[in-house]
Amino acid sequence: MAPAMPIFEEEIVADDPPPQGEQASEELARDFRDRKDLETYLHALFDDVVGSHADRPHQETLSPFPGGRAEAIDRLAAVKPAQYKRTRNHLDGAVSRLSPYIRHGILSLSEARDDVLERSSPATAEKFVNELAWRDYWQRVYAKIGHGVWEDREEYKTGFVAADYADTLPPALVAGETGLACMDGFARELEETGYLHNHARMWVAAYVVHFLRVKWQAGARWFLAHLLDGDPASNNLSWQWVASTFSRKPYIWNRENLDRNTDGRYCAACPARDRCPLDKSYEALTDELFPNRPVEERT
Amino acid sequence: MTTLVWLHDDALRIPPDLRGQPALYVFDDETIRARHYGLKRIGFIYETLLTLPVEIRRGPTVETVLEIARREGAEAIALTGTPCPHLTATIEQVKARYPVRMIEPTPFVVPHKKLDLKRFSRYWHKVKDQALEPSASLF
Repeated sequence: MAPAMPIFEEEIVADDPPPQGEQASEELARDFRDRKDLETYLHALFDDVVGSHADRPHQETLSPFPGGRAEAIDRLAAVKPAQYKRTRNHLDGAVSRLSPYIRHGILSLSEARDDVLERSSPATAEKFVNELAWRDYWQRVYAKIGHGVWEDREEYKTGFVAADYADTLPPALVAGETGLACMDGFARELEETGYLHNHARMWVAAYVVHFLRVKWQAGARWFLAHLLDGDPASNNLSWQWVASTFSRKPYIWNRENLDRNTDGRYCAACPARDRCPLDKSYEALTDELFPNRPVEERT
Repeated sequence: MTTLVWLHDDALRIPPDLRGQPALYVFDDETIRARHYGLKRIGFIYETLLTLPVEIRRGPTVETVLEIARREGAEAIALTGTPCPHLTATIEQVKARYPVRMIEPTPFVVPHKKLDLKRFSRYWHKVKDQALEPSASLF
């Protein structure tokens, strides 16, 4: 469902920048005809700053997520904690898509928590509140380690060391041209919308780190270049959780898991459906991906 | 008394007790580059700002905040705290040159004991009961 777009009332062309030397800054416009008008204005202002970027091979458009608190309040009111608990891992599950608003302080964690507790029992609300708590947790870690969110918190538990992982992402992954329908679909969705379902983020992260054997930092930078909710704490530390540098074991997935949680929408039409590298049991994938890992640590 | 409300990327909101005060957001090219922001993110922030009574400026953050605080005759600059080390360093530069009042939104939890942050499960074990209590949050 496409979110409603805000209506802007009138067009005003941006003021000329102030004469050099008088002010440190220039005032930017507030009135636009519509979203397209805003987008054109922002391209003119910021394209040189945003620049060409390996993580953003195409020119961007605005995200379908509208900014503003009214949208956040509407989304919060639509949260159904019982359905969230039951269906959140499915790509079509009843997730809130509140994260961009929470990340930018448009809505606070405690407001979101208080709202669902007004409408449901603590037992029903627990899973939703637990996911809010992940953000509180990441922020507390961030306050403690600061720039350290870019460094491995612990050793990889994959049987490899950091030097075994490549520094950069394959351009085909970023361009959505791997030939794997799931990864290509997620790359395009990330680029076009600035949002991915959490499960899709985990699948992509595990594919990057464990299947392509690329450092999590490269994937984290890619996500930060697109995600509206990206911040170095939640984003990087989640990548580290998948990589196993901030968890007990690496996170991996297989075709059956993705197929089940996407109702087969990727696998059915995938060009690689008959030679899917993920169409294996977890045991087989673990042996294949982590051959150096001690057998007793494999799961 | 005039207070300048400085909105930043972690707090695109005017605290309830500061409504009616002049408010400012600064797009800083260096920050945009440092944070890997693209047009989608800039657009989301911009669209949010358009829903608020806030002056939107482009320039170097510290100089711009000081410029507008002086222009408004503000007795202080108020902003919401953040764990972001880049922003914290910027705030420190402003603090060295102007009175600054830090504001905190209602915390998600107020731990009674020191938290073990090594794993989420340890954190959750300590805060779960409190996290499932309403906090009557103001913002």
